[in-house]
Amino acid sequence: VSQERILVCDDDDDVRAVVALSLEAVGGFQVEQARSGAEALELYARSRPVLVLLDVQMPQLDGPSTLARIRALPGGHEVPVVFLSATTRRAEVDRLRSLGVDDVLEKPFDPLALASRIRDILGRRAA
Amino acid sequence: VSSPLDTLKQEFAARRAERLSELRALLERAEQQDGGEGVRELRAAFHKLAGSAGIFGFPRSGEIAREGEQILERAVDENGSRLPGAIAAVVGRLVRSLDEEAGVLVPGLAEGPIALLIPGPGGRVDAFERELTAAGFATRIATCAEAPSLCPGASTILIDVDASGDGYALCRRLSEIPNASATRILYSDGPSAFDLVKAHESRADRLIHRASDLRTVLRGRRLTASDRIAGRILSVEDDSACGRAIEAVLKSAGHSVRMLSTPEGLLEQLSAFRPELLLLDCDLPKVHGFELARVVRCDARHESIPIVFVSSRAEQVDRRKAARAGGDDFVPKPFAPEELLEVVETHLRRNRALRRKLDADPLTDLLNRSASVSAVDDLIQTAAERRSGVLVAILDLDHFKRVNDEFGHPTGDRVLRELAAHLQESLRACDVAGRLGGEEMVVAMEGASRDELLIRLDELRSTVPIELPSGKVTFSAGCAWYPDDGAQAGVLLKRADGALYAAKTGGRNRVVAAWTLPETPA
Repeated sequence: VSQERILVCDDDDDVRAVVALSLEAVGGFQVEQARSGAEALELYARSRPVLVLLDVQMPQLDGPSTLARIRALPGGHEVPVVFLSATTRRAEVDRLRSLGVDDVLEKPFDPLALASRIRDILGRRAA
Repeated sequence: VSSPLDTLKQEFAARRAERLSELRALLERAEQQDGGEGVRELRAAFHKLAGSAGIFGFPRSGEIAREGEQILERAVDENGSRLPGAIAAVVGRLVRSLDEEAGVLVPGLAEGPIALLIPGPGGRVDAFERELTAAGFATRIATCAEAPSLCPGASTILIDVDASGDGYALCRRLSEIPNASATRILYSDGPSAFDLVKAHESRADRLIHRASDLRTVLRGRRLTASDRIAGRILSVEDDSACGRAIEAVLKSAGHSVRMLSTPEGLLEQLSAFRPELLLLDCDLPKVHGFELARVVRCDARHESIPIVFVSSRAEQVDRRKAARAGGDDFVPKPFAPEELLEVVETHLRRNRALRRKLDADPLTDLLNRSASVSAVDDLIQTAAERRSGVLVAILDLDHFKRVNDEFGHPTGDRVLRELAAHLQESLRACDVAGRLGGEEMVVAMEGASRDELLIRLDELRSTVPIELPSGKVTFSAGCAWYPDDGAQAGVLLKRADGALYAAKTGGRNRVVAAWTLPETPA
């Protein structure tokens, strides 16, 4: 059985490393890492992930813009996308949700609990 | 998982300086622009850290970053992106909190003396940080605004002269903070004479122009607050009130002072007391200070001794006459105590630095043979005044010929240099370390307790950190004690040499004291 692939896009090297570690070691996923929105689009087309984790604030192509472009790709309109956001503003979280994502995960997150939260989101989709 | 996760956390901890310097660069840019895009970028950086720090075991730092983000957010909303003054303090708190939380995460990280690093715009932080870490410091990077609040905890402060426009002013300001005993080192990538003057005026302890200079400063000379320079000063002053004032001021700063009320006896004292600086009153009866200076300068042995004139006549014309007579400086009467000390200590330092260059053994940078002998004599002089003693030791590397034969002379040279570095690092600034020649070195330490110094000497022996494929490098040592074993360097070295012979024949890698040997006829 091939592992489920998850695409992680964050411009912060440390955050990417910890997300990858958490999803791979705890969740048993295979993780593809992208450093920018542009890289994420490229990797998405190649790797066909089961879920995309997107940072919100990134230089050039930010999270919402990357989301819009993924949605326009073949098959991209239905892939689960989750935002990783460091915002604490209620209004900002609501705005992000309204963009059509499966969830908004707050930073900082507990690295050991991240994988099970992703599992939950995938489970909700399957149900 | 926990172990790779810990590794990631530790990497995050190790890279916190990088993050802070990014943050700082943005802060500086925002300060310069006084608002606009810089504030937004800074806010984004705080936002990022607010999100990531908590993941890596820095929850409090994350909260502080969040606070910074919110302050900047309000600024953007309310007053069109002007930079709020409170933000510098937030960065200061972030520095401390990141260090504290890193200390919990990585045991031992927060231990050791603290060095404060204040870089200039686009300053090279890495090289300095490496040197400071290698010297055992926990380094904190700060902006000019944060420096005063972080300064009291630091033992060394390194300031780029271009920091926020004026590192000199900052250095001066830090010197005025009560209880701040840190050594202040200024960095300029191409210091001119003008820089040196400004460095002195801003009360810097050192001006360096390369990161590697730091190594010399930190290792070669232990720069601590207690390491103030103390020299031997000879003063000729006929006014008894003024003479008493000079004596009191100099002695209060730890200098050895000898006073003469007339020029008679000056030449004898120059040889007997061997002063490092001469203070001459200009208005002596019979002979003028300037003439006296010329007489002193006639003797080749005293060509380079700093001469400082003290005079109630401090007109421009007098100063010029003083300079022509071979004077190095001029202190007008009445003088402020600090002024006298500043002038005296500046010349002592410079002259010692120059002498060091002339006196250095080129291979090891320790004192050469003749300089070692006179340095031991100087130490005896100091001990005589303090009624203490001097432990004089000769160190000889064991089986050094074999090292050269087996591994070649470059390795032999490296061993000598490493032993010299070991001595420099382990000894106090006031101790003497020199190379007598070949693989023989001399160490002399002044103190009240012979046995305590003997223990320190044996510690030097047991902690030699040099390893060759053939095994650990060791040395044997013989030592003698002033005053019991002799009153001159030559005699003491001879006695130490006899003890060294006993150490060698006794099996090497040991210290033998001359006073434990049976009496030998002189």
